[in-house]
This record gives sequence, structure tokens and C-alpha cells, in this order.
Amino acid sequence: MLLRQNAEQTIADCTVLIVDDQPTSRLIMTSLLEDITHSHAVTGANEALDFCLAQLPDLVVSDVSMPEMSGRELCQALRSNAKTAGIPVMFVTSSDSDEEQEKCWESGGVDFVTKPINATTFRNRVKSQLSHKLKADLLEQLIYTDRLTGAFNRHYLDERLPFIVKECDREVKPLAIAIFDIDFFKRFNDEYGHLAGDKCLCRLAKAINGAMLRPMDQLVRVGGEEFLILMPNTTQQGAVVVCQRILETVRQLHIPHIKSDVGEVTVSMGLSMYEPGESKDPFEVINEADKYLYSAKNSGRNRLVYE
Amino acid sequence: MSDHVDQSPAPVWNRQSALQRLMNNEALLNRILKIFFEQAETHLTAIRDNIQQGRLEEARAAAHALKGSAGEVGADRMHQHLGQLENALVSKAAQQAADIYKVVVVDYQQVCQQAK
Repeated sequence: MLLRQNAEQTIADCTVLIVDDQPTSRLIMTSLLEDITHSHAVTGANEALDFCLAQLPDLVVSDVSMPEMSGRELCQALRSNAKTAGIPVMFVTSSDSDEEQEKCWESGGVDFVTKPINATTFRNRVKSQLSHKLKADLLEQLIYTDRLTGAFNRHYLDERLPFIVKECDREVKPLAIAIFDIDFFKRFNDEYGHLAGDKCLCRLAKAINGAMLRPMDQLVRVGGEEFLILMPNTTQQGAVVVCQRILETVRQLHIPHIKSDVGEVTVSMGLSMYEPGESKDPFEVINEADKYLYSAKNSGRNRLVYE
Repeated sequence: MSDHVDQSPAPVWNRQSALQRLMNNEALLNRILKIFFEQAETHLTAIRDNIQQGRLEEARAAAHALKGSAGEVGADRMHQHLGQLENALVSKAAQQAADIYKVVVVDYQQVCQQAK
């Protein structure tokens, strides 16, 4: 699951992006990191921005003075985008003025190495930044993950939903939100016991995570047996396909539930849409989805209801 | 004593300290020297032309770039003078910059004799 993967990640699995317009500097830095981790070198800040958005490196090592766009501007641009704001930027520069150093820290850099580079210092600074990044990532994952099911948790929802909505507004793309829970789950627990209930939640979450094919779709456990699916950049039509696939995935698990109408575990689901620029409170959209979930319950369960 | 050391010009080519900075990786030093020599004359020409035509910011950028790789290969004296050249260009002192440029060219010729 998510947690295991991250705990096992080491510095050797990280990616460092090197940004420098000078070929000698790129060659030196790439060579010095060769036996430590993966690295990729680009010649300018614009190329670096594209790489960061697509690949999310664990560290950016950037020259300061470059034509077109400076390393400091690159750092500010990374900071101002929620997607890339967590990538640390380390500056490498031959400019030794105090003013320059101040500006680098102000722009949001995490470290400052002077040129000509001392190999030992450079390698150790990079290692230290990467080990810090790995710890921060692991911590974030622990904070945001439900330990039982491996899905995201309520805390994640409260913290991240406003940013996800902002992103949809900016990209002018709709956000689909589905909410579902297990039919007659209280009866399930009473019949089979709480341990079996936990196991059922676990199997369901795992199967549903596998049925969500796009990386940006996220499963969130918001309560006992209640889950949300966040689907950014998804139309209602697309979301219905995903939801139906999830209902079918649960049916195919064939988990016995003798106290339910169909004798097996099923879920009911409500779906609602956030349209870009609507400036609606996203938690309001969740309430709407919840109302549809309620109608799904009242109209026989094991189904999806939407507007 | 330290005053005297500070005032003496840096060595033309300090191969030993360049190597030390690169963890004694001679192959790496040779590769960056090759790139340095391939590019130095283009940078020097750009510095000269830009100073002559009053484009001091462009001249500064070229001086900064050359300073970086001069430092990396251990061309310490050239590195030192390019730093002074960069400062002169930042303060828009065109005549002073033109004078320092001539010194840098001499430094470069000496690096060529020793390292090429």
C-alpha cells in the first residue's frame, strides 16, 4: 500500500533536477551525484518549470544567474504553484555578494552552495536535503492517510479540498465528487464482528483504489464506512462511468452479508458536480452528493444517484 | 603575513585545488577543461564586443558565465580578474572594464600554455 512504498524509499530512489546554463557546471554536478541518486540536467528555468510540473523531482539544484529567467524567479514560480510548492530549491552560484545571498533566501531557497563547487560539501548538502525531503514526505503521508484502509483521511480532505477546487477554477475544469457508504454496515458488524468489518473496509478500499484508473482521482475515508471520491478534471458523464465501475467492483468482491437484501456487501452512491468559477463552497457540493446518497438508500441501495 | 598573501595574485592554474574539489577525479577535470577551452574564446569575444558597443549588462552576463567555468577548472587568476571585471560592469565603469578585460586575456593565454 501507499505507506509501505514510501517508508522503503531511499535517497537512491530520489530525483534531483540540475538547472544551469553552463555546460561545465552541469557536467560537474551530474557527475558528482551519479553514485548518490538519479539526476537530470536542464539548461534554463523555463525548461526546469516544465520538468518540475511533469516529474515532481525531490530537489532542484539551480544556478542563480541565467539568461531569460533567474534561479530566484524559478524558485518563486515553483513556490507559487500548489503542485510544485513542496519541491526544495538549493542555489549554486559563483556570486558571493551578501545581497545576492539575502535574495536567494528570500525567494524561498533551502540552501546555498558557492561555486566553484567543493565536491564533498555539495554531495553532503544534497544528501542532507534529500533525506529531509524523504522524512517530510513520509510524515505528510502518515498525517494524510487512514491507517486501516490506506485511503486518504478526513484531515487530508479538510486541508487539500480548497486547493483542489482552486486548481479546477484555474484550469477551468469541473470537479466531480462522489460519496458512498456500505449498505447495512451496522448489521454486518453485528453479524460478523468488528474485526470482520475492518477487513471488509480494507478489501473494499483496496479494490476501489485499483478500479480508479487515473492518478488524480482520490479515495478519501471520511467516516466509519463512508468514503468520498474526488475526481478533478472530470465531467458528470465521465464521473458516472467511474462510479458505475466502482459499484461493479464491489459487487464482484462477493463478500457475504446475510443480513443484507442481496446477501452480499454492496454500496450506495451519490454524485455531485463542482463547476469551475461557480465560487461555491466545495463542502456544499459534498452535502449535495450526500443528499443523492440518501435517495440511493431510499430507492433500493446498491446504486448510484445523481442530478 | 596574511596581508601579503591576500595581495599576491592567485596562481594562473591551480590544478591541485581544482582536482581536490572534484574528489581527485582526473577524468572529470579533463572533461571540464575541454569544455572550458571550447567555450572561452566565444565568451571573451562576447565580453569585448559588448563592452565596445556599450551593452554592459550583456558583457556582465558573459563575464559571469566565464568566471564560473574558470573557477571550476582552477584558472584561479582568471577567475579573480573576471570577478573584478563583473563588478566594474555592474558599476557601469566601461573604461575600467575594458582595462581589466585586457588582463583577463593575458590570464587566459597563460592558462592555455599551462593546461592545454
